[in-house]
Amino acid sequence: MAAETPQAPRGLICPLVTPLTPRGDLDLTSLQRLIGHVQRFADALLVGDLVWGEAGALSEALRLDLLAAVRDAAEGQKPLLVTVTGRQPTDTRRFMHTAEALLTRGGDPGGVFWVDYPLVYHSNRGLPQFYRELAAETRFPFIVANHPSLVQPLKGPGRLKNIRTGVLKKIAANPALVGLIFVGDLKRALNYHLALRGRDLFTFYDGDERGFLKSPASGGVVAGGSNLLPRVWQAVTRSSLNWLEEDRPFAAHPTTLLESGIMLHALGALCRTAPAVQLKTILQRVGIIASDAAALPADARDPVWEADLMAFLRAYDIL
Amino acid sequence: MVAQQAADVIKIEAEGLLRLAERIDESFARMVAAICSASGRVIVAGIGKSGLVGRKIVATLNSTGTRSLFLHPVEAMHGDLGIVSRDDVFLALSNSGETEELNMLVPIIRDIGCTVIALTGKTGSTLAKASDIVIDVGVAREACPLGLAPTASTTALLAMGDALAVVLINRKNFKTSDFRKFHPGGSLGQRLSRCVGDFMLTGAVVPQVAPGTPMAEVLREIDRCRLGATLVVQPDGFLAGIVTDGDIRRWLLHHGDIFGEVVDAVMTPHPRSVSPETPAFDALNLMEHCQITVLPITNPIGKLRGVLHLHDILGKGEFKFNGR
Repeated sequence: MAAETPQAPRGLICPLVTPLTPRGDLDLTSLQRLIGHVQRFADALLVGDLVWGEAGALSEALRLDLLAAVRDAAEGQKPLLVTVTGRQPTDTRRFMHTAEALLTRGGDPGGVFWVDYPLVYHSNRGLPQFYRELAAETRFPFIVANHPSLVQPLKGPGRLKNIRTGVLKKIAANPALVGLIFVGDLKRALNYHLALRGRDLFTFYDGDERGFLKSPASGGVVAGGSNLLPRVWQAVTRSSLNWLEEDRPFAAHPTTLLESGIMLHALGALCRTAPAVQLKTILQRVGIIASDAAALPADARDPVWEADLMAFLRAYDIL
Repeated sequence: MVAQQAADVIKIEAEGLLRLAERIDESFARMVAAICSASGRVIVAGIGKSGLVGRKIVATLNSTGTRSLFLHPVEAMHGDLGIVSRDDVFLALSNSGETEELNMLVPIIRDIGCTVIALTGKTGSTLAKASDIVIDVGVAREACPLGLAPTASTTALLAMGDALAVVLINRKNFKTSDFRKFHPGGSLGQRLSRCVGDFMLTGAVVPQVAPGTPMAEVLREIDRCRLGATLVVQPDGFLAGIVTDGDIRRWLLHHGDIFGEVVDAVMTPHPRSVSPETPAFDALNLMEHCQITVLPITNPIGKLRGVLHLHDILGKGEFKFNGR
C-alpha cells in the first residue's frame, strides 16, 4: 500500500456491463464502443461489477480479459474501479494479485481502486483483520460495498446481510479503505455516516440509483443506467452534488432535470428484476452493443417487459 | 362634486377630439404622402408639453415601422441639428404656433431641405406660415378652468399623432409579425422560452458526412448547407464529431494541405450537444460560453436529431436591425 492514499473519485461511477458474444466470449468491439459512449460523462468506470458486470457468473480468465480490454480502451482517461470479489477469500486475494500484476505491467496505470463486496464470501467476524492483511498486499486502495440483496441468496437464515456498523468503523480505521458503495435503508446509511464522521477523505456512494435520485449520497452514485444514458446521469449527478459552480454555463434547467429524473426512474424500473440482463437487452436494441448475450439466466424479458421497453424507448426518442 | 369635475374634463377633451376629427382634411393626406415618399426619418420637435407628446409620437412611429427621432429645439441650436438630413420630414409641434425656440429652428430646417409639417392649434401662427403643410389640432377650450395648462390641446395633439401612425401602418402594409420584429426584446424572450427542437434544422438541410469521408467532399457538404460546419455521423446515427470552418483553418495553418486527409483527422470528436427538449435559453448560454455558432442536437443516447445555428435562436434570418 502506497504511503499516500489517493482519494476515491466522486460523482458518476459507471458500472460497465460486460458485452459478450453469443458464444460467451468477450465482445471487444462492443466494449470499446460502450466505453466511448460513457467515458466522457462518467467520473470513473467500474469494471466487472457483481451486479451490472455479471462478474459472479464470469470465469476468472474472462474477468481478467475484460479488465485488460477496459484498461486499453479507457487509456487512463478515467479512474478504474475494479471488483475483486470472489467466492472465497482466497479467490478474492488471488484475483486481486493477478489483476494488479496485469494493471501494472506497462507501468503506472493511474487511478485504480479495488471494489469488494466482503459479505459475499466473508462474515462480519474477522473482517477488519482480513482487510488489514489484504491492504498490506496491494498498492491500490479499497472501496467496500454493502449490498444486502446480493448477499441474501448466498447466506443461510439468521446470517447478517449488512456490514455491521461497528465492523465498518474498524475497517475504515485502515487508511487503505477510502470509500463505501451503499445499498440499504436510510437509517443504516445514517448510522454508517455517524460511525465514519471522524474519518477524512472517505467517499460514500449510492449503489442504488433510486436511492440516489431520492436522497443523493455525498460522494456520488454507481448508476447502471449510465451505460445507456451517461449524459443524462451526469447532469443529474452534478446537480445533485451541487457541482454547479464549475458547470454553471451548462447547468441543466430545473424542468429538464425533473424530466431527466423521471426518465432515469423509468429506466431503473425496466432493469429492476435482472439488472445486467435487462440493461444489456436495452443496449443491444439501441445499437450500443452487438448482442444481448448474458452470463446470467436471461428469463427476465417477458412480453410485458418488452412492451414496457418499447414504450420507454419511444417516449424518450431513444430508438 | 369631484366626480362631476372629472367627468367635465373628460367631456371637454372628448369634444375637442370630435371637433378634430371633423376638421381633418386634405392636409392630413399630404402629410402622409410626404412621410411615405421621404427616404429619411420623421424628425419630431416641440417644447414643454408638446415636447412630451412629441416623444410619445416618436415611440409610436418607431414601433409601427416608421423610423423617427425626437429633436429638442434648444439642443438642436447647439449642435444636434447635425442629425437632420434633407431626406427627413420635420414635424413641428406647438399649440400656439408661437414658440420662439421652435420658430427659430424652422427656417434652418427648411434651408437643409426638409419638408416642414406644423401640428398647431393656430393656423395663422408664425409656425404655420413657415411650414409646408399645416395640420390643425386646435381645440375650442382647454379643460383647465384657468385656460392655462395644456390639457385638451395636448390630448388632441396626441390623438393626431396616433392617427398619423395608424394611417402609416395601413399605407405601409405593416403586419403583426413586423411589430414583433421591432420589439426584439419581446420576440427574443418568446424564442428563448421555447425548446431547441422548435428551431433546429432537420432532414436534408443538416450537413453531415460519414467517418472516413475525404475532406474534398466534406468541404462541398459545408458549402452546400451554408452553416459553416458539417457533422460527422456514424452509419447507425450516432454523432461522432463536427468539422467547422475554424477546424479547417487551424488544420491549414498547422499542417498545410487538407485535401489528402479524411474527416476523422480534422474533426473535433464528441462535440457538445443538447437534446431537442433543452430550453433555447440554455442552448444559447452554451453556445455563448463555448463561442460556437453550430450546436448538434441529439437524443438522450447521442443519435443525431438535427442541428441548431445561433441565428436560428436569435431569429436573425428575419430580423434586421436597421428596420427596413
